[in-house]
Amino acid sequence: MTMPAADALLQVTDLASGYGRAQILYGVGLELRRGEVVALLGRNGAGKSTTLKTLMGLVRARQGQVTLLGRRIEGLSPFRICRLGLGYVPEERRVFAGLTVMENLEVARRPARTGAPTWTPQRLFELFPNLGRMRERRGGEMSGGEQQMLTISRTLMGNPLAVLLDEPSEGLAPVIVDEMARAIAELKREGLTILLSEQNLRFATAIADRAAIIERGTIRFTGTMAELFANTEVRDQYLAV
Amino acid sequence: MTLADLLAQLINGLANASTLFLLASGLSLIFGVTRVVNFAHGSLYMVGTYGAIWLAEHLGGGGLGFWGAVLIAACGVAVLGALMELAVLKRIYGAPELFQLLATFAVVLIIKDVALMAWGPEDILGPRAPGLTGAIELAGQPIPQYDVLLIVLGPVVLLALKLLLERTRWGVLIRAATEDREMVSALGVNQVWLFTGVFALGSGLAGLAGALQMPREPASLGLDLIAITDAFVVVVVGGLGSLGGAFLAALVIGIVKALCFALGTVDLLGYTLNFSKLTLVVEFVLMALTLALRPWGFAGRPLRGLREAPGTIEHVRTPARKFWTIAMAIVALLVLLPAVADDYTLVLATDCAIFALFAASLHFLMGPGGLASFGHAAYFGIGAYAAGMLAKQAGAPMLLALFAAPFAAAAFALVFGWFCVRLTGVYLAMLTLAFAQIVWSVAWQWDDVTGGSNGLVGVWPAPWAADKTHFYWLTIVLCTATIAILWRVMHAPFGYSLRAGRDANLRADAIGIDVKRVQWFAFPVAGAAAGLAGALYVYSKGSLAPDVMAISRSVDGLVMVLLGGVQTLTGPVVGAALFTWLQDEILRRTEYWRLILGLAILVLVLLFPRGVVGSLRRVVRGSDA
Repeated sequence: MTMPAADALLQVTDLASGYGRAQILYGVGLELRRGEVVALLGRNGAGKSTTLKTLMGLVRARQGQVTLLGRRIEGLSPFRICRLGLGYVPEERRVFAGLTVMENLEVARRPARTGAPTWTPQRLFELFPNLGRMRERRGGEMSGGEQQMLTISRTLMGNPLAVLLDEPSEGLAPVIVDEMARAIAELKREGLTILLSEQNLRFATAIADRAAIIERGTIRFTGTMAELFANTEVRDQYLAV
Repeated sequence: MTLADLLAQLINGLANASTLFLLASGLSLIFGVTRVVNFAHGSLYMVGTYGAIWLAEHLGGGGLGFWGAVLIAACGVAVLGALMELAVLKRIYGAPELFQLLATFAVVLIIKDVALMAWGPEDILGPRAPGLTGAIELAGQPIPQYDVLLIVLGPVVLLALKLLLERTRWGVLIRAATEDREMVSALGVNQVWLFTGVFALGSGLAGLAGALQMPREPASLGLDLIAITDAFVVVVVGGLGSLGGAFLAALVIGIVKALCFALGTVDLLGYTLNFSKLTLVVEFVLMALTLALRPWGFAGRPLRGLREAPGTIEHVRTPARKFWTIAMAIVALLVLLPAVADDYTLVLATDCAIFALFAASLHFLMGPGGLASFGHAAYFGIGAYAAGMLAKQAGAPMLLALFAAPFAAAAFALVFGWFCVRLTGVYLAMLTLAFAQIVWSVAWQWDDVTGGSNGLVGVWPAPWAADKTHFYWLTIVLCTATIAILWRVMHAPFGYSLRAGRDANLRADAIGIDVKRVQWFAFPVAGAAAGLAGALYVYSKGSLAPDVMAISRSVDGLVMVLLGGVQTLTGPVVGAALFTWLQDEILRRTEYWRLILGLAILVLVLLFPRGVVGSLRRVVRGSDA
């Protein structure tokens, strides 16, 4: 086990969790440094979403530690974890269908935070110009791509230090995927730290600094994207479809 | 009937609609956000009425005294609701929703007895509103000023609530939480306070409605159940979670009731129809019609996630040989009981057996079927009346009556079930309640056939079974056999299909199970068993009254099932015996049996959120989840 780096924002050690009798995670270890984008790669059912949900407190951690800026957060309720600076963008988007775009953003509004970019609806509409044109549209009346933009914007309204992004490219048209990649790159430039769960290797390669590969609830590889591409064995074993 | 009469009744109906809306909007808000079906909502309304009358007496007369009493009572009830949420419901939000329901039943019992202690059993008349005791002349008809005020107040409150929900941050959070609580929490909102706040607001509305009724209706201990059923009807007819729908539903119900009063007795094609008698049941007929035509009410949408999460569903195991040995031993002990027990104990044991069967039949719908029936007393009552009427009107022998009663109950269950299975969740529960109320009011009013409110007396067992011991044996044999049949059906392909439909509706459909049909047929099975219990009940008591199928009997059944635990068949049987025995035991010692029972249920729910038997099983097997 490597020593935590001095600039570690989120440190995950030996994390286990699951649903009912089914255990999904068996000792996940991860590290997220300030300002970097880490791609959590793996096949369907490998435990990507469960990792993010457990970090967010939506699934109870049965074992292990999660440290955010030196503070233990496993076992806290989701709203406390959010207030400490971790943002979560769910895979299913989960926009509030009966609420307008502005109201969806309002739900997540939190005070500005030192060390994290500060977001207002105005700034978010610069990031996603499409959203700015449908402020009074209800969440349920938006396309999948528009909902994906809204769910990311909504999480940003909490001015998080780090965002857990669960498969933002899933089920989107290629042109929207490109726009998503552009927006996430923009967020990275703003200094946001991102843990990105992905199946789309091309998408992850475009924006991630480092990669972690998860398989059957354990991390099998960690390294820079260059290291991942150099290691054909790992790529063939865990990522080949 | 003159036009002026009609107008007077209409105004009265509109005034009623306003308080009905206040009451129902609170229930709707609470359900929308917390998904708790708060049975104690009617009790909060009752406390509002009693509290306001008491305060008005102590604050002295004058406008300040009256309106001060109304405001303080409403705020007091809001605090009471918040306390109830903090002390009880907050601890069990994670438990299955039926347990939350059980907890709110317990609060109903507790509040009823506390009100009895504080204000006594007599009805109390409230003061009239100073300055509003007069009447306005409208088309030559005096219209009470206070009614006019109420009619105006309804839309005002609707508007205020709409503004609160749509224009404030708190309202936006509430609407978001109504859709997806977990996501709201992941976005940094502390739902604990959101829930408590919603409970306070909703309860305050119930308290306000109760307080405002003080000049119009005396405070009585029966107000709680009347208010809660009225509120449920309005919320369900309007569509769960829709304030506008609730308002419309309150208006429609208020007006239709007023029309029934105004029409009075009408001769139509040689028949005499008494419309004013219909007022007891008209709202339930209206609800049944609405749900049959528009399954989610006027303005409601299909509900998501009302069923238990898959993680909480227990696996069904074939019991070990040991289980059968123990079961046989218990039956043997029951058969031998008369050797040691006196007559009093035997009568109590007979009751326990009858209610065990009743609870087992309800469990058949609720457990494997996942169909929460809030009106199960209907089948118990139909069985009781079928037996009683066969014996009294047709002079049928006891065995024939006992044989026929289950068929009568099953026939009704077949009809009611056909409508019910078209709905799910709370809507289904409300429709079962509506049918039960319709049957109850028919029994209450059809004097010539059912004996009306007096019921039927002198329904005694055949001479060979007249002895307490013999009747006890008969009951034990019939109840044990029927429960065994229910168990067998549950473990037959029919039972598996039923559970498949409960746990994974669409998937069951996709593998060729006609889920609706299977659920439909569960109704007559459960109905027949409940009908037999009802028939045995009549013969054990010698008489029957419409009470045998009042709402409180359905509530008792739910408490028995939930107390024992819904996951196993043993649960309800134990729950029923425990409930019947506790009720008798406490009743002998104190008149405040509801208070003790309510507290006992609360303790049980907080300690064993899976029911007594369910929790014991977990302790025995060890926690594995």
